[in-house]
Amino acid sequence: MSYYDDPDNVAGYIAMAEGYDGRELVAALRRYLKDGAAVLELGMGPGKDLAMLGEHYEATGSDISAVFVDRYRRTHPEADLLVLDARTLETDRRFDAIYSNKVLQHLTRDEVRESFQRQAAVLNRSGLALHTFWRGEGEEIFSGLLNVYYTEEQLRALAADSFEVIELRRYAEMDEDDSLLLLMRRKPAPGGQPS
Amino acid sequence: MSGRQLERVRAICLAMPEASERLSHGEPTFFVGKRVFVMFANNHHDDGRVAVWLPVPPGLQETLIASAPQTYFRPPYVGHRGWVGIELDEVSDDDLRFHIQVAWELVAPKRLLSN
Repeated sequence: MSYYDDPDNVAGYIAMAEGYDGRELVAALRRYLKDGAAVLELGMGPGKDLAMLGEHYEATGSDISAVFVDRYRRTHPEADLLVLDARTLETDRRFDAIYSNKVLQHLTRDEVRESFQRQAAVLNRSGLALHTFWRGEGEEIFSGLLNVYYTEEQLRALAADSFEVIELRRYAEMDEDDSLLLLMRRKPAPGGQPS
Repeated sequence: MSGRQLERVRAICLAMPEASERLSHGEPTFFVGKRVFVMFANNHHDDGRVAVWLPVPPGLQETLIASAPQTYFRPPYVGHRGWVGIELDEVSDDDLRFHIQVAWELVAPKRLLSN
């Protein structure tokens, strides 16, 4: 049994996590996005950030893992959820913003580029994307899971085709300046035609 | 098992000046001020370890891992910044206390270090 399969430990988690984790990221998004907008979260995991997004937005949660999605649906039957691969974003839905918190580092750099292109395609005109990454060089595989580290320059290059970078800054999650927050706006459709 | 190890880590960490505990990445994490000095890692990403991750002085990570690879390992996210993972079943109380003390000193505000 894992530590958080124990209801007492889960209760302790909820109590300790109150007011922490993604709240500052949601606050960053709110500086640019009005309340009530449609926001898609990629890689929702247990749904902690999704709940914070839902306090202000019409939030849709997604994860490539149906286990996470089903688990959240059991406790939040009213939630709007999708099983979605962050690389391909195969959905007909459109959103005002896309959000992820330390999720896209599990994709290769080429997959992140592909994801950014797909995100631009499912965003409404002038739609926003906010993502966080671990800052650094190179990549590693830990317990079979890929972790890719990024510099500011690398993220700007990956975003350039589809997005205008609004905010790109360092912050501390575990160690000083160990993380990057990237907030960007979808570029106009080619030819200047609104879509 | 992990509960006992968490209590062992918690007792040492919270005895440090101005230490506090919150969750980060779903793991109990110990802060001094706003900075992390120890993260408890219970089978993180199914790696099979009950461990702590903490900062060590520059250059020590490689030495520790080379000298006792069953005890020390390079953790994700912060391993490339010189942090080390310590398998709790493999480390003595004295060594664990020493590493936590050093980690706290590495990140604590200067005003606390002068006391």
